[in-house]
Amino acid sequence: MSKIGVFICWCGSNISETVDIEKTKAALEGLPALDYIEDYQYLCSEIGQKKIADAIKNKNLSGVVVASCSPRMHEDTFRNAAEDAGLNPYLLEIANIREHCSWVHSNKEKATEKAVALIRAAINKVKHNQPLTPGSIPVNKRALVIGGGIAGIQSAIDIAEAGYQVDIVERTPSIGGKMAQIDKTFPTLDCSACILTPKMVEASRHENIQLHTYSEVARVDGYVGNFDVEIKKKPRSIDEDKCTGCGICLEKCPGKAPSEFEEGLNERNAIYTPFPQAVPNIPTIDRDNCIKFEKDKCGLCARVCPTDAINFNQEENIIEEKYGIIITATGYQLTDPDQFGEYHYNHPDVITGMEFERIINAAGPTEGKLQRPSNSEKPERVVFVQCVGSRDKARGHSHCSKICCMYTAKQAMLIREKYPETEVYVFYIDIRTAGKGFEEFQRRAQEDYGVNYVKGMVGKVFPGKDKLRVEAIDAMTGEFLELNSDLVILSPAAIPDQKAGDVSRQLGISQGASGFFTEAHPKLKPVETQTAGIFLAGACQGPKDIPETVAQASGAAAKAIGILSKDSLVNNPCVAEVNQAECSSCFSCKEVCPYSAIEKDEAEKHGMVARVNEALCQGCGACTVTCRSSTINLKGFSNKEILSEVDAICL
Amino acid sequence: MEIITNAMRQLAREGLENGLDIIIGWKDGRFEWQSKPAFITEINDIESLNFNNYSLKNLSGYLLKKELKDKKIGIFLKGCDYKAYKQLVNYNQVDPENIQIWGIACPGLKERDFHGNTSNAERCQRCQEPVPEELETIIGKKEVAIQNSPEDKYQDVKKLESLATDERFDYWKDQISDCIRCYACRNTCPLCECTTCMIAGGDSNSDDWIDSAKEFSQDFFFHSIRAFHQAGRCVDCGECEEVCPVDIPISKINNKIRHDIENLYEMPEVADDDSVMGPLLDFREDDPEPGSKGGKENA
Ligand code: SF4
Ligand code: SF4
Ligand code: SF4
Ligand code: SF4
Ligand code: SF4
Repeated sequence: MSKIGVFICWCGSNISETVDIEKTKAALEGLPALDYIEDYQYLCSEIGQKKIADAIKNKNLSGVVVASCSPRMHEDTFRNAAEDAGLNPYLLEIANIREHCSWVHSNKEKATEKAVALIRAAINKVKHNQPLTPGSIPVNKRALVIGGGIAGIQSAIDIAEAGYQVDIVERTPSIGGKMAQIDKTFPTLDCSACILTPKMVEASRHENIQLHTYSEVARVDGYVGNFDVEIKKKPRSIDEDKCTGCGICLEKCPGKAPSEFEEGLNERNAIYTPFPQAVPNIPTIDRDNCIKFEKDKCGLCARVCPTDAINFNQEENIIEEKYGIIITATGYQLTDPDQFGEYHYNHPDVITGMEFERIINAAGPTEGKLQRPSNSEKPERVVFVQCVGSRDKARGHSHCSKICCMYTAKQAMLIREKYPETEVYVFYIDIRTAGKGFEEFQRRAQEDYGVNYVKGMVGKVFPGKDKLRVEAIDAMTGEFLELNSDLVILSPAAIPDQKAGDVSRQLGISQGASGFFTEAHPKLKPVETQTAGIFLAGACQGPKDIPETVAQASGAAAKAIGILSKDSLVNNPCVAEVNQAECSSCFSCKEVCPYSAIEKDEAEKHGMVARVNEALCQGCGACTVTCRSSTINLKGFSNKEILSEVDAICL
Repeated sequence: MEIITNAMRQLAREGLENGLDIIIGWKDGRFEWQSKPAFITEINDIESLNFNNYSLKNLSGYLLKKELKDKKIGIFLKGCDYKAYKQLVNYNQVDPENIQIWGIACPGLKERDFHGNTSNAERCQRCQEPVPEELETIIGKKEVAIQNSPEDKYQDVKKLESLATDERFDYWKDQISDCIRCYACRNTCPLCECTTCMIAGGDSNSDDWIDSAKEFSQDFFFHSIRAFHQAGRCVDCGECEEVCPVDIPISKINNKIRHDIENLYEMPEVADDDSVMGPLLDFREDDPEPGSKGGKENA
């Protein structure tokens, strides 16, 4: 015989103001299913919880209904109380008479009626509830970090320092990412490479870190604690064990291609290391531009290589590994300004902020000399254009790219510092410098370095005979401005890495409207995704500057370590379950399951039948409504339980 | 018909000689306006195979029989039967490895009512694909005239749709209250493949979705649930309507659903390969939202 107890919470006046507690109690008291009823001002308080626990023990209750707030709020609280009193926690149901009742209705009489109906439904359901026990899943103590920029490097080092193995998968031949391309960092103006290089070296030397550069994640299966991942190592055409990084091959190579690292401002060879401090310091043959691969001629690199490390026949290599967690750190890229024809990005003297970083860098294509790319002359006037594609809902992206105001201030200062005679203009919509020391930094550009800030958008850039003509409106005076410039530097919108879409599909994580990965909760779970065990680090989640990126990367690492440090994880027992004897093997359930939790199982009776992988199942219930023969049921929400709730309301 | 019959016998003979265990085809019934399914295992019985004007029976459903599991089967399928067969493959009900299919270019068949009147079978009038073109072997003349255009085949449905809601409800109430829930329609349907039917009542794991009370609401649930279970799968072979002892126009219900699938979801009425599942199983980012973007206003 079931003995059901009901506990009604006033939630202070949150519930009791709109729901007549006495009437509700009176309406329920006659129910044959009911054995005990009690109300209290705050059931979630310690006293309230004790009331529930005491009643379970003293009245020997076999099922409990708590009529209170949303289960999201206090289901765990009350279930723990029930468990402490010796009742299986899944024999407790919540009737949500706050969010579903008092908060959304104002008519007290009707609200009371509805509260009674909701509680009756819960009583009917709890009679059919079964005790459930959570299972446990083992954890592979190894982490995968996708992306080898500063975010990936920081996460990997943090996890490695905590004593766990980490693999970094990086698509390009070297780790370092965008930060390696940057000249100086704001607001401290320290040299980017000088602070990044030691981290890169640390990552490559760390005994717990394994680097897979020039590699991509090919396939991801599995779930938190047990991800099965295939990593595709693209052929470098170099035997990594033999190569000493002497660089002799690089000198002789006649094959040429634009240098990605130098933003296409100069060329690299077909066999190349992206930049001098690259990690690992091993060249890569770019097969698309190598004469040997194109025409089967040349082969000079192989002839000069002292250690015989060149291997033109190297093949793609797939490695498989199991991981407990995955951190995505796929970063950002800049939008292509070509789509904004009015800025004439196709003119050599119209460049992006990132190209400027290379031009001003002492190791860059001009050895740090500020030059117009068209004629290598020193510019007399430079114009910066902000928000190219950012905050532009109609043609570009609605989001603010966040980093441009600061790097533009920095770049403007660098110009004025090196070449005080150069005139510098910055055209902006408004200046956003929320960060420690940022506002002060930006003011220095204006006040100490004499950079001219003009509020207003640049309408057009016209390539003239010698100069570029910039047309703009000064929004403060309404004046139409026209000025000649030698160099125009655009701040294109920061957008997710081109491969973000693939990664999101592979991992089953979502992208927001702007394409950046979505966090599980914008305030309370900023580094988690909706998929357990997958975390976000850095600009793949949204535009970020370096300090923010590093902070978030460490946050993701901390969350990851939290999982890796456990031997097993408890999983939700409210998972789907197949009655295999009745399954007709149509696998419609497999088709709809968003978490790929349904597998084919060899059955004794007939061929294959469906089986639920409990570790993968998130209890969404999609399969149960799809199964035509009602063969699959969600534990804790079985058809019987749901129908008896419906009966309580309708019959 | 004779050409088809002769070719059938020829192929069946070769099949048995080449190691097939059983041939499924048609033979004559008791009267000349009847046809029955034939299950041939002996060469001697081959002469009984006969394709006549009434060989409507959709044979693909027999492939679900447990007795035939792991047998090597040869089977004759008309255009509509073949579509049903493909659904069985899509839903993992048969293993194509063990099955040899011979297609029949169906010339359009006849039906006879209780008063002895003969007419072109209704389903054949709606049929758009009488020839299972994909198959390697097809017997009969491939140039078969289609009796009605794709639009015209929904005449019945359109007529019902044009009625007011109340009138439609009354029409169905009238029809469905005749149902005696003998479940013949379900039992004969080649696509009702569930081991246990959730709407059968009593013996199933149905958790009382429907009880056996003889009430209109229960009859109505039975028919609507069955219609949704066939959404995107029913191939309009007409078997259900054929066997109904009280003449409920079951095809009309299924046709309405097919019409809606095509219009509302911009999907083929019947999923034709396993890359397109039915509208309830398929999710596309550009799913048309009936009534807003895309998808014609309907229903
Ligand atoms: S073989 Fe290719 S990589 Fe080597 S030197 Fe020639 S062009 Fe360069
Ligand atoms: S949908 Fe139901 S019958 Fe079909 S495979 Fe899944 S559990 Fe089995
Ligand atoms: S409940 Fe959801 S997650 Fe679990 S098996 Fe069913 S469809 Fe998949
Ligand atoms: S065959 Fe006819 S009477 Fe029998 S259950 Fe089906 S619709 Fe009802
Ligand atoms: S529902 Fe009727 S017409 Fe459709 S496939 Fe089944 S038997 Fe054939």
